[in-house]
Amino acid sequence: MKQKLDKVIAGMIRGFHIYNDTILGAILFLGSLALFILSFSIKIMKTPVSGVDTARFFPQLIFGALMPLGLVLIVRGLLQAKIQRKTAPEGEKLEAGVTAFKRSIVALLAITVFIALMEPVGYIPMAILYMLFNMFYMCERKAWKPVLFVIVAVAVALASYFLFRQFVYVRLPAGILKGVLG
Amino acid sequence: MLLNGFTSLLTLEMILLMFGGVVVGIIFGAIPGLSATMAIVLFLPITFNMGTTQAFALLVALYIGGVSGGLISAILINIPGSAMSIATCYDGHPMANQGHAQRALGIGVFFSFLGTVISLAIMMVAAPALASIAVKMSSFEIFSMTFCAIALVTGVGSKDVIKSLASAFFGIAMCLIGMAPVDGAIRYTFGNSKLLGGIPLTSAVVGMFAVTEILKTVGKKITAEKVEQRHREKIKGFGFSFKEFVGQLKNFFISSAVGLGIGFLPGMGGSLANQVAYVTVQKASKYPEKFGTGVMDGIVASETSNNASIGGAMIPLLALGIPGDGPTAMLLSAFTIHGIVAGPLLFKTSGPLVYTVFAAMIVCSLLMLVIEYFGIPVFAKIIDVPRQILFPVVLVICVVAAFSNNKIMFDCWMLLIFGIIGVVIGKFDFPRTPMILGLVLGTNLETNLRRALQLSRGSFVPFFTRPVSCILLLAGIFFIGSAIVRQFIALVKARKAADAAEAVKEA
Repeated sequence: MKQKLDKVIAGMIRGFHIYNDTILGAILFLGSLALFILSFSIKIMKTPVSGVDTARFFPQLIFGALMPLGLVLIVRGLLQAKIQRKTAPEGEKLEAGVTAFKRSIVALLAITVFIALMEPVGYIPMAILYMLFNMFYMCERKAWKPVLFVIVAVAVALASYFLFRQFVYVRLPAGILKGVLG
Repeated sequence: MLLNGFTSLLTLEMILLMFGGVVVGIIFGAIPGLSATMAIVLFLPITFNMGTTQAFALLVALYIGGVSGGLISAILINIPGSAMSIATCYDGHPMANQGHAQRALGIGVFFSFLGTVISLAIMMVAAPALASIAVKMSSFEIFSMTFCAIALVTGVGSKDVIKSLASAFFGIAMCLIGMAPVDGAIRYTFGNSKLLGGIPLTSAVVGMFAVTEILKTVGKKITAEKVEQRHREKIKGFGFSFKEFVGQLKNFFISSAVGLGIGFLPGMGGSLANQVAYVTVQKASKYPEKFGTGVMDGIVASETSNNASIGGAMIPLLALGIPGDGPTAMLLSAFTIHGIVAGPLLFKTSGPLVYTVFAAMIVCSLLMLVIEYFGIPVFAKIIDVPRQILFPVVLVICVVAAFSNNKIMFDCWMLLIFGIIGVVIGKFDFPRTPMILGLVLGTNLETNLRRALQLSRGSFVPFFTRPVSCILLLAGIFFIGSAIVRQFIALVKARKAADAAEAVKEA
């Protein structure tokens, strides 16, 4: 399973390297085309002075400009694919890329969980958990300093909560600590 | 009158008040997501019960400290305190990474001070005259100016003009989300009422720098042996010689002019000034290829211009009652609260107050210089904090700052989304700067285009018949056109070289 996943990620990284401009161009072109078409459904709020004085005009101008740029990138990407193939990562470099990709996804998930649970669970517990997780995750076992990590995480979470409440008048979500924090 | 202004400020109470204001401003400026505007908003109610002089001394202190503070996080952790310090990251952080954090900070601090002072000097001498120029700028000129600024950054400051253009348009496209300017038509919100106000700029900028930086760092585990023993530099003065200072004078004057010029145009300010100044100085440099590797010029350009925009933004505020940026909009509220009408008559009706504000700005600039100078060794220690501790802490503070803007979780989600966008566009080698510029200026661009088209009843001709507008538009087209031609020539040369190499191989 792990090997299969690594293979898929490696394929993605290589494909991304080879067809970088083509993929970007396709995203830009298709996205702009869709949003250009959607612009016709924007409700016009008042009688326009002229045909260009509507809320549709500017989006059509911008997406109208993005579409040809997307096409240029697609064509350029296809022309460069051969050269890009020669420089695509392989061996150890590719393995490092796969590891970095997986680690970034985990870090991203950690931020997502922190934000998602900040309101129901509360800022303080989630900030502590997030910081602790990241501190341990970012470095190898030999570099772990559990006592220091805990002290920093707790101190930063508490200090930021109370400083923002006291001086910036921002009440961060109290969550499960609602009764305790007042 | 200026002397009277100084006299009213030179009491222990006032100095302490301004000292506190500058310190708080620096802290707000240095924390990614917080800003000078936010500091002024928070302290505005406190000034209700103060005398006019105290109130404006405090607010001005917060403004000056807030604009300058952004350089600290930009240099040390590659995350700008606000959009005003984005260009400081480009050379400030590489310089810090080379073991010269204190020198980078010293350069930033010193030229922040000089930028503020020169803009204040020009403001005092020429505020009414410059303001009359500002008032003559119609929507045609402001649109053309905005277009020219985007074209300059896109065309001159990029390696790949197609991607840069696409990036700028992508940034502008993001401004289309929410209510349209002029008529308030709802666009691309897909039923989400929180998007009516558009994309929160702070969350977008901070997300794109902070989250991206963390996701980049986390890719490889930090090893126990890899705890870097950073070379502890000891700097003399601000970390540069007199010869280096003289060498930067041309750069300094260009950046001051850019900051001042952009600062006094409504809706622009330091967020644009730092990037335009950076690109302009790069273009004028004898070694443009070194920009982005930690050269002094890049820091000087960014920090001089964003601080010069302070004086620029104050000109239309004082002389016309029109704020040039966020903090000056808050200062305008303060004028109203204290029963003062900012505008053409201000110099006549409240002359002493105006000169007290000028004096306060000079004193606060000096305080900023002193505080930041003595703070340099302390700030520089941030870079010694292990990354596995620093980055999670920075991210948590960024999330809190994003939440603080509107006190809703939506802004935190935006931070995350823009972080992901930052990572993805990085993988595509899609330049970040034009996109942020598009995001900052998109609404301004559309508002002025639509206003101009209303005035001309849908005709584009006046854009070219008005001299200033025409020159700016043509300059913009030239910047992009010349970049495309330059890149095309480079491509042809590279092809020829590759073909020649292949022919030699075959032979």
